[in-house]
Amino acid sequence: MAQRIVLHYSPGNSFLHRWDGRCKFFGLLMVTASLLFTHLPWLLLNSALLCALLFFSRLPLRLFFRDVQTWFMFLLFLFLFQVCFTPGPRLLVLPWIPVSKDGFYVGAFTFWRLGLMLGYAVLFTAVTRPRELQDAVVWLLKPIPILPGRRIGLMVALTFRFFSLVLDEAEEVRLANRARFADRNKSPFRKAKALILPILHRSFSRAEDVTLALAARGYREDIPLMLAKLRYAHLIPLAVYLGSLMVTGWAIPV
Amino acid sequence: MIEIRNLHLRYPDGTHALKGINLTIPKGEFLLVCGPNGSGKTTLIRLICGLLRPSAGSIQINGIEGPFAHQKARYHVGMVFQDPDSQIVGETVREDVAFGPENLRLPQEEITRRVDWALQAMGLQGLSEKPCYLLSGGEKRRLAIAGVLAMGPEIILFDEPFSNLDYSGIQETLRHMIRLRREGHTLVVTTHDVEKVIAHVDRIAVLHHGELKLSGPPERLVSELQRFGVRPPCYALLGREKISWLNE
Repeated sequence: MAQRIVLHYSPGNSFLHRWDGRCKFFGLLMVTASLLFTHLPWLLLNSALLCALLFFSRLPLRLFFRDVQTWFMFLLFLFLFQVCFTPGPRLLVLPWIPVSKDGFYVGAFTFWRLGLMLGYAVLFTAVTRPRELQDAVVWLLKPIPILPGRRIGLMVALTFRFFSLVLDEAEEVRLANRARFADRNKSPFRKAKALILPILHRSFSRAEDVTLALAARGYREDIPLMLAKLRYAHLIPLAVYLGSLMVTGWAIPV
Repeated sequence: MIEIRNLHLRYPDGTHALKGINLTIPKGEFLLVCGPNGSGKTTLIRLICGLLRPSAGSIQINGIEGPFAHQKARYHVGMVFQDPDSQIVGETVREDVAFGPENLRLPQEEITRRVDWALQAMGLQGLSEKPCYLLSGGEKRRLAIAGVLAMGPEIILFDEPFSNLDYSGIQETLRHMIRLRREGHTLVVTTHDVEKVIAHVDRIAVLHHGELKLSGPPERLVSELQRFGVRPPCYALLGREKISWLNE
């Protein structure tokens, strides 16, 4: 039963669900590319956009936020690490705290950017079927003849599917460990070992099963791609987003 | 003794997996919980084991009450998972059986004693240094049971213990269950395939769509199983006496 719903496709009828998979994928690429830059207006734009998209996606947001809580703990750890170990002059506001100004800014921006990337990844997987993603990758790679587009598309779709499955398996293994009181174990090394070994074992055996199952069902790469014609209306959000990036990038340099 | 009162569990995706279960399992009973896929069997035993928290209702194990009751109760309950691979964490058989007792922070001599005893009880002494990934399906299942036994629980829960086992693996697992029951353990087995174990259980509980539909001795209930999507055992279909899978 679904203990965790994040990083799974969540059926729905919002405009994000109905938006063409190719445009969604291209939009995700654009957002990710913009997040590579530490540019405050772009971060603000992407944050506002993510909030709006999450709202309009009509997903069960409370459950999503509950599931990503542990990841935010990881982000918080990254933030604290950078704050504590980046050299430089101390903060002007609270100089008695042993924290450098540079470390605080670098940590805060890293937290923000990774949090946004995580948010967009969660949103993308929730509103995009793996098949849509696969077709989008194949379509985008079609103009490049030397790349095996169909194979790469399948790999990307399976990666998304497997990432989610591995998290589910990790939950199953965690429960099995807990049934034998592994949660009482103080050593993080032993805890990690007890979790990672079975997950790896199960993941490898599942990967092998999938390979054999694909072969058994006659998987082939030379089947022509059959996608509906891309409607121009679906390109409008991309154009608007690109325009916003250009305006905030050029007009508001930071 | 396990006392389940008005137990409800709702998963995050909204699935109402268990709806007001009331069930009492006396000490030493061998109970079969059956039902079709998705009826809530695994959820029920995970709740008994304290791995999930109920949305409403309570589970009382051996009369333990008060704060942290579910944590204290875990000392009395062991669970064998459906897929032994999710439970096996050690690199060798001995290391895996020792995992639970080590987590209980027992002294080293006690750990060694318990591991030797559990390995012997499950017939795994000869395989104690064998890497776990080289074990057969039946051996993995026995290892999973040994890992639980080494923790000394009074109540043992089995989640679909016969899945993916061949005939001899099923017989082997069944023999160990019967021995554990004879030694005074309370056993709860979940399965949709009642055929293999029904001849040995004291009572059947039938779950359907998260509700407890029937509970009683097998002789009385076998004819009604089909109504709830569970295939009755062959002997009942043929109108014959109970047949055990251990009959050669």
